[in-house]
Amino acid sequence: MNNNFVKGSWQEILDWAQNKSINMLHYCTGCGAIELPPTMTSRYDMSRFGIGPAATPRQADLLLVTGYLSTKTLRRLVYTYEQMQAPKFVVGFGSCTINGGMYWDSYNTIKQLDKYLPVEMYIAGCMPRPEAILDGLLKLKKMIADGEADGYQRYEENKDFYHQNQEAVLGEVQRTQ
Amino acid sequence: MLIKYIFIPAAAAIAAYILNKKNKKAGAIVTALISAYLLFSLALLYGSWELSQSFSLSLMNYQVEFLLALTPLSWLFAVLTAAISFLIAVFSIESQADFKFSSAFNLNFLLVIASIMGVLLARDFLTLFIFWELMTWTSFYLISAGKKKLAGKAAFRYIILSTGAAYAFLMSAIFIYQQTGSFAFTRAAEFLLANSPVQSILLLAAISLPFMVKAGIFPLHVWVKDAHGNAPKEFSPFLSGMMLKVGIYGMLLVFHQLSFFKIIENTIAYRGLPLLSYLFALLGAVTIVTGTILAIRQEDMKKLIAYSSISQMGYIIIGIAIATPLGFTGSMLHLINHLIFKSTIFLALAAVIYRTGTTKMYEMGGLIFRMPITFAAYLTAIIALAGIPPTNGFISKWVIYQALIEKGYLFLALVAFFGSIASFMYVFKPLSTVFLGQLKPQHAEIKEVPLLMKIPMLILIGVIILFGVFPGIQMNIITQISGYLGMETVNYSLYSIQGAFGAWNSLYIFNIFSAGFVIALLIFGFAKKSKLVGLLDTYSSGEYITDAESYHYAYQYFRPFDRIFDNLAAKSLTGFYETLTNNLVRSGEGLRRVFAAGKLQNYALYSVLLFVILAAVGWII
Amino acid sequence: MIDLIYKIGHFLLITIFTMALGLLFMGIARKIVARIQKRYGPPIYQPYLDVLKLFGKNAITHGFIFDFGAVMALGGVITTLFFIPLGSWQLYSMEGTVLLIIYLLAVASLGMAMGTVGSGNPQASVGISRALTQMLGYELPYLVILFALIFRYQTSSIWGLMQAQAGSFLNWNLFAYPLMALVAFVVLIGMMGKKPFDAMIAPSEIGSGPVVESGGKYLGMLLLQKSITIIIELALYVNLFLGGADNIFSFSFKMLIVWVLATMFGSLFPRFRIEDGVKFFWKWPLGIAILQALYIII
Repeated sequence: MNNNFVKGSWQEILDWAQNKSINMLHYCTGCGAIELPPTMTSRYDMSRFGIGPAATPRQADLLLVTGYLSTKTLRRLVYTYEQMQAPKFVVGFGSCTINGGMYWDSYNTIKQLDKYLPVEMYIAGCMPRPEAILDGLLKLKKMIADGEADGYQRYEENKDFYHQNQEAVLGEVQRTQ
Repeated sequence: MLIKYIFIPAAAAIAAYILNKKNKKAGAIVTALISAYLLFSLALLYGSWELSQSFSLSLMNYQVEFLLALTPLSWLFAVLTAAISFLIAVFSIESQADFKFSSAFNLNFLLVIASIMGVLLARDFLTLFIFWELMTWTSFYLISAGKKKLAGKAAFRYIILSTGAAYAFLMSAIFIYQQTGSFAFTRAAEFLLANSPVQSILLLAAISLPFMVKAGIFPLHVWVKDAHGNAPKEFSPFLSGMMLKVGIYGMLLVFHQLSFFKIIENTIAYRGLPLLSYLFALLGAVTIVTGTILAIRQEDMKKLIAYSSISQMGYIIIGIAIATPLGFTGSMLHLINHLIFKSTIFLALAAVIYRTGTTKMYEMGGLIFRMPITFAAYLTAIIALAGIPPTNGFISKWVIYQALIEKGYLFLALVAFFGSIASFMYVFKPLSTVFLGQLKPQHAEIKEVPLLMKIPMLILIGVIILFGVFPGIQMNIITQISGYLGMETVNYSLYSIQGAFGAWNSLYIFNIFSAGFVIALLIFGFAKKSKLVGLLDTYSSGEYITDAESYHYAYQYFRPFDRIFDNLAAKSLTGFYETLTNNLVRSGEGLRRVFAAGKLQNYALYSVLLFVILAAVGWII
Repeated sequence: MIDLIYKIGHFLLITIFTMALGLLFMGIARKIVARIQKRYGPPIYQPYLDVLKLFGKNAITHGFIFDFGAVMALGGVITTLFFIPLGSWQLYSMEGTVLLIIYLLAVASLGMAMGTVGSGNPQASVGISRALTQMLGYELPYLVILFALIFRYQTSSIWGLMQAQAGSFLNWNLFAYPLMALVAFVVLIGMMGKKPFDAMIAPSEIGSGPVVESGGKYLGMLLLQKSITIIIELALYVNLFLGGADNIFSFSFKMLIVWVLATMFGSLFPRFRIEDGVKFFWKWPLGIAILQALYIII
């Protein structure tokens, strides 16, 4: 797909390896998750791109936020994101993560994911079909290989910003120890 | 001169009791000094197999002789006793500082040592019986000094079984005395060999009963779990380590010195082995299976390891019963190794009990972070128990396997393999529930044990590895014993043993182990450094966990496996014994109601009847 | 000195070759399973990329025992590797190796068990308790088979057992004792943790079991350990039943055939519960193994 690995820099080799092998945390946060089984199984087969499911955040690279996020789920999601280890990527899935989507006037859901977690890219749709998911993930792979997927670094650098937003919505947030 | 090995600990027992009343630690110090003295003076006696001593006593018209002698077999057991007593005594200097019964403990402990020396040095039935009973009584007192009511009941069961068996022994010994006119082993051996085989076998069976009770062989193993589990925590290593072995010593006496093997040499054979020997080996096999399966179900760590002791005794019995050079060597190796690693396990558990005050595994967890040296001792000992190279446990198990495969005993080999693989399961249970896992908040501040308790554990770890890499050290004395008992010996060198289908070379294995580890360590070291996080920061599907109690998997750790054997374990042998005793008590009730109902008229009637009968027979009037 | 360097070079060569071959086999397995499920699946070299990525990721640790367990697991399998003849390569031909191999594999599993349970996560403990129970299940028939083979050929070194099958390919134990070969095949599937015997890894049931807290280099090392374990188990099977081989290529080819069969077999079934798995191993495989062993002995 790209020829970065011939450039010889160690970080670029790791980026190339990372893009070829992504472990997706099998965490279905919202109703958009129903589009994941077709993407993973034989019809659309995500695994031929090297993307496979991971069971726990410690083993995962990719956090797919599939759909709306109530504040209850957001609390757990932040905890899960902080349990993942660098390099890690967040992909917003569906319109609810972009602007609130169908629940734009609900008292309980968040409207803009980017304020709480650093998002690499969004996949628009309600819900996006498996072809759209694959298209988005392939673009994500290109971003990773080019070294542009630096959401985790943004989270570290702007920690106060993110923490402030989280606490504004959730109240007191327990952090990992 | 051999009598000093019995008198000195006995005299020191009284001294220890008196001194301990003044200073709580003095008794244990006396015990430690005396066992160190015994160890050194016995070590100096290595090779002098001609030592013997005898005492005569004449009462009324009877002339009684007490014979003592030092044989290679007794030397080995005596040295092991002295060594393990020394380590336990050093350990108990600190751990018994608050123990209510520490004076009585040290008094009885030294008396136990003295009586074991007596048992080992005895060369005639009377001496053996006297010291055997003394050993049983003093250990009864020691066991009942444990956990209040539970220990009392367990000790009671132990004493009943032991005493019953000892009376069978006494009857048989007196019968032999009547036939030969002396209690000595040599005369008895000649008599039994010349006698009719059936009668000799019955006599020997009665003689071996107390030894079988002591060694915890199926079906006489019902006292072991509660006695070892509820005994004071410093005595459990001695019980499991040494006292079971004294039973094995007795079995060796019966098999070899009282010519049991020679008697049954010409009876019906199964694949080259006399049928009775094979049945005995089968008994050992059943012991292995029972001990293992019941061990996996236990929630109390001391009871778990007590059951494990029973199953390891089964291995030793199998090796002795098949009576090949390899089998015998394997059993003796396993005997020594089992003493070493079982004591280590029990000392580590005693250290944990000392700090946490409980023996239930589900009440503890995460103790590796607070007691790392105890953990290291426990880990090394269970690696030896599971029989993993390069520890000494692997060597003894390997030799026993070679012995079984050489002769083609499929069923025995299958049971031996089963015991070994399953032992992996039950030793992992305390490791995972006590030392690993979540640290409970009430244990967050406990400290590692004091230095005097660490030293015995560290010494034992060193010995485990040393004997694992250099098995030749143990083979020296075992070869002497084989020669003394008239068996062929096994070829060996400092670090290798010759088996039936190949040789074992410890140094090789140790080197390769190091190579493998170094490569893995290099791969690990060159990767990125990892971040240390706390125990409560763990995968819980996004939920915050605040109490470690609900996140520690300990209760019924092997529930799927236990389910397979639920029906079998429900039929317990203890229940059988209890039903037997209840029926005995009830029939006694019946007799009591007939004869001793309390009515004065009945007593008068019986007295008159008795008078009439005796007059008729001519004993009076 | 030159001898020592030569030996060290030999060590490293065998280790790296086995890791590479094992990872390739894992990739082939994923491809085969994908094809059975009518899809394309990842490329054959995917596991190499997985390992590379994992060593580039950060990881967390829960203390000394977590690190020590990972090192002990990988160290244990590398040690075991040096005793298995791979084709004509063998570093240490020691007598008495067959039983040794079984116990050395136990070192590796003890290391992994200790390390992963040390993470403090109960799902790791559940996974390990299941793994140990299942190990008891499949080891019994396997040890009966080893017992019979050692007794038959009167040698307990793998090299000796391999040589005893020399000559034409009809001498292979596969044709001499076909029932035992079948039982050993079923045991092989249990050893490698393929369905229907993979309750210990159950991803959605217990969060992938023992490796629940392992990420980054720990997962990488466990993946390498898995790859070497696969080669060790396949090599044992080929040496015991398919007569070994003269050179490494035909040896790898034989291993590949066994591996493909095992993968295809293992992709068809749902999961056994642990006690059902153990009871299954103790019923038919153990029974058939005992019958064949008795036939050999008597």
